Parts: sequence; structure tokens; C-alpha cells
Amino acid sequence: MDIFFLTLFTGVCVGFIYGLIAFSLTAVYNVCGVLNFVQGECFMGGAAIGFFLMTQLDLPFSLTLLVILVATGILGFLTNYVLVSPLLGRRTPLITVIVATIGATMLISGGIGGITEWRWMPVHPLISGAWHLGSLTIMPSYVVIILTAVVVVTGYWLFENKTIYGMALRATGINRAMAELVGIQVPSMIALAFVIGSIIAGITGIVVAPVITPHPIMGMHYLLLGFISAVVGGLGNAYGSMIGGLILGLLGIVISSYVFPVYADIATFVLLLIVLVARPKGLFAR
Amino acid sequence: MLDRGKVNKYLAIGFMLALVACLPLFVNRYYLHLAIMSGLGVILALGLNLLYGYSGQINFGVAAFYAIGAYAVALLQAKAGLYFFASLAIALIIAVLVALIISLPLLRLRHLGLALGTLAFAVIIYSLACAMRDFTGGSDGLVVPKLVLLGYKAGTTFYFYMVLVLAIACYLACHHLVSSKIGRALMAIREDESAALASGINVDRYKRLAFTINALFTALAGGIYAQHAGFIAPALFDVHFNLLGILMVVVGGPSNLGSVIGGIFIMLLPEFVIAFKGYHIMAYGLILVLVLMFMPRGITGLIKAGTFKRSQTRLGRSLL
Repeated sequence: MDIFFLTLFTGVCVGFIYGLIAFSLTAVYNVCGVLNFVQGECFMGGAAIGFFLMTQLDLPFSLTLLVILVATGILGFLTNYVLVSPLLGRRTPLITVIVATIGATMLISGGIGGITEWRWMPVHPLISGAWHLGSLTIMPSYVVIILTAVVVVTGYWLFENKTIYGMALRATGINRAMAELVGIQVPSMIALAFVIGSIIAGITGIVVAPVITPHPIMGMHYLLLGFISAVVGGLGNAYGSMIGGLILGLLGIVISSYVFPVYADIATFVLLLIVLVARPKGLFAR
Repeated sequence: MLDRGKVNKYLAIGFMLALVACLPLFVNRYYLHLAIMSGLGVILALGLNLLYGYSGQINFGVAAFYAIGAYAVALLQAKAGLYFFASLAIALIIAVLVALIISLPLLRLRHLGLALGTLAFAVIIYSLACAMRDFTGGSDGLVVPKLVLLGYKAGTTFYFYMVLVLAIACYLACHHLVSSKIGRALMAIREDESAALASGINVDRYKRLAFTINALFTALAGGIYAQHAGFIAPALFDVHFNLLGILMVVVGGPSNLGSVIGGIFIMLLPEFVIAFKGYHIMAYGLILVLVLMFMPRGITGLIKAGTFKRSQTRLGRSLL
């Protein structure tokens, strides 16, 4: 029974990882309708910065987090400023824009991979030791992931609904022309969305790093699962994408623990196919 | 009467083809192998371009049909003892049947939904190839029996000419198709699906036709690849292969000529970036980003602008 609860707990944590990435993707998608694949590399980059600063240079977590916020923020801004906005301005097909961001992911993961010579990048847990809850043993790193998810979702909700910038951001996503008409700087709002999405992905990266042992090429895998979570939950609904992540995480962990690891992928993608065909707009579409 | 420009054009094309056909006389087997891979890339890209470039439907799961072609050719020879050409023919029939069945649910989706749906199908095929160890050899792979032709083992030169002839045939078929009624119907669907429907085009049927031709070409390339390489494993058909297909079409540009250029470019690009040792993926990404930044409509898009319409680029929520 203990093993069953631990499996469920792990599934929930993995679900929050996918959910956070899905959340970061949706934050951009909701505003300008583009999927920014570079956020997978922000995720990997957050973990990589953690490896460089915390594991190799022994710097404190607070400083590392600051560097991650700045670095991923700049990366998000540049993605939009150099790549996405100029392409969209020239009426490029959306698939081409997404392929261009995939090219940028290769650029970044290839760069980090070259620096680390394609080695694993282990990061120490933020809180060492283990917590005991009755007969269960819980790793604090997992609790940190859940707390991060709660903080990010709450923070984003407060920002979106209680601040003037957040409301401008939402207005841009709902109706661009109208937003422009009431004096919202639409290009700046799109840039802001890219920065926010990239920062969320970067934070996820450093928080998740102690649990997964990061590798330079992991970005694409997690991004893909985050994307699927977003679609299952309902692309366009940031909170639904979190639930989509939980469904995917639980499904994957239950299948790979109790059936066979190889079938976890099959189950995930069969679920995706079923959801796409039965409810093309996702389970919690708005 | 042929006008002078046309004669010159045909002469130039004929001269280039003759030059390519003489390739086995000048280069060693490794370069010949690269030429074969480029030819397979061209066949794959032509099929995908018919679907994406002309009818505007994305297929992010070409690896599925490549794998079906390759595994069918390998298994029919290894387990059923059929001859290569017979197993290739059966592989193509299997691919067409699978495409017809899977297109029923998939082609109801559009844009990103279709991309994800086809990707899901490809990942399921990939995982099945890994999971069914007894049948496909799992991730250890499968050895394909050598082809014996008139008492001699077929070598790289044979596959080179086979691919060359097939690539030209595929190009001519696509060229013909695009300038026929079918091509016009596909382009009408790309421009505006409801308008196409309103003017009496059977949208579902034409979409399925393009999807099936795409599957057919991809399985053809996969089947020849399996026979030429002599060994296949699931790792060859993973997510990255799907990306290669899209890259060929996007980088080349949405036309038949674009697929030829894109197919060759994407297949040969790894050979050039390998010079950057540990940073080869970075160089690959950089080249892709630069190409797409300066040629958003692909390499041929530089020459001929404006094949895509606004509706495909519009920002909004109609992606799924």
C-alpha cells in the first residue's frame, strides 16, 4: 500500500512538472497564438545554470535563481525580438515560425551540450535528507516542485487579474485590434508574455533538476510532454493545462510501474489521440 | 513548336541529370550513399509537400510510414521469404491501407491538432516497434537479407540508380498531379476550406488522397532505405525523423522544386556541420535559424514569392 501511495505521489509530482511547462507554453500561446519551443531550452537552461553555479562553483541557491530569472528572461525576450516577431510580421506560416523556434532549441541545447561535452549535469537537492510521514518516506525535492507549481499558478492568477499589466496582457490575447485601440502597447505585451513564459520554464528547470539529473538534450522531451498536457487540458486554458499535466503524469507513472515501462509512452499518446479526436479543443477548453 | 527558352531549360535539366547519373563513375561508395539518402529525402519531401505545401495539411508523423515501409520490407523478406520487389510492393499496399484507416480520425483535425495527432501516431508506431521484441527485434533492430540480382549481390550503384529513377518518377508524378484537377482542388483546400467545399470540391476525399500519397512516397523511401542499409532499428524512426520531414518542406519551400532542394539540403546538412565537432548540433540549429530568418518561405521562396495566403498566418485561436 505504501508503494502505491508513493507511486501516486511521484505521479502527481511528475504531473506538476509537465503542468508547469504546459503552463509556461500557454502563457505565451494565450497572448500571441505561437508555441515557443525555446521554452524547453529555458527549462534545460535553468537546470544547466543550476549545474554550473551550484554544483561546480558552489554558489548559493538565491544567487542561482537570480541568474536564472535574468538569463531566461533575456532569452525569452530575444526569441521574440529576433525570431518570432519579425517572422510573424512578414506573414510567415505558423508552422515555419514553430520550426524556426525548434532551430533555436537546437542552437541552445547544442551550445550547452558542447560546453558540457554532452555529460549529465547533476544538481544537489535544495533541501537534503528525507521527511517521514507515517510509514512513508518523502523526498523534500518533490514537495518543492509542488510548492513551486502552487506559487507560480497563484502568482500568475494574481498578476493576470489584479494588476494593470496583467489585464492588458489578457486583453491582448482576447482581441488584439481592440487592445491596440484602447492604447495597449501590443508588441510590448507580446514581449512580456515571452519573458514570463520563459522565466516560468527556467524556474521549473532549476526546481526539477535535483529529481531528474538533467542532460543537454532533455529540453525537447519535456517540452513535448508539456505541449501534450496543454492540449489534453485545453490549449488556451492555463489552469486546465496544469490538470492535463497531472493526468499525463499519473497515467505515465501508473502504467510504467504496474504494466510495463515501454507502454507508458503508448498510453500517453493513445490518450492524446483519443482526446484530440473526441474533444479537439481539449478537456477543459474555455 | 518549342520556344527557345523551353528548349534551353530542358537541355539544362537533361545535362544536370546526365551529370548526376555519371556520379558512380567518379565518387566512392560513401558519397554514393549520401546521394542515395538525398534521393530518399527528395522522395519523402515530394510526398509531404503535396500534403503540406499544396493542401495545407501538416503531417508531423512521417516516421510512422517510413518505419512501416522499412519494417514491412525487412520482415516480409526475413520471415516470409519473399523477394525484395514483391515485399516492397506489399509494403506500399500496407502503408496505403494504414494511411486510409488512420486518416479517418486524423484528418478531422487541423493545424496544430493534426500535427500532434500524426506525431502521436508516429510515436505509437515507434513504441510498438520497441515493445514487440519477438516480432521486430525490439530496440536491437533487424538485419535485412541482401538482395541477389541475377546471381550478383546488388551493390550501392544499383540502389543509386533505383533511387534516381524513382525520384525522377515521383517528381514527374507530383508535377503532373499539381497541374491537374486534383492539384487545383488541393490548392483550393489550402486557401480556404469552406470556399472549396462550397464550390463542390469533396474536401475530405482530396485531403485523404494527399495524405495517402504522402504515406505511399514515405513508405517507398523507407522500404528502399531498409534494403540499402541492410539493418534497421527503431532509433532511426524516432521523433527527430518527423522533424526532418517538416524541415525539408519548410526549408525547401512549398513547391515540387522546393522539395527537391529541401530534401537534398536537409539530408546533406549533417555532413557539413560534423566539422564543428562537439558543437555540430549548435551549428545545425544556427543554420536552420538563419535560413528561416532570411528565407521564411524556403529556399525556392526567394525566387517565387507569395504561394501562401494570409489565412495560414493569421494570429488567433483557431489552431485546433
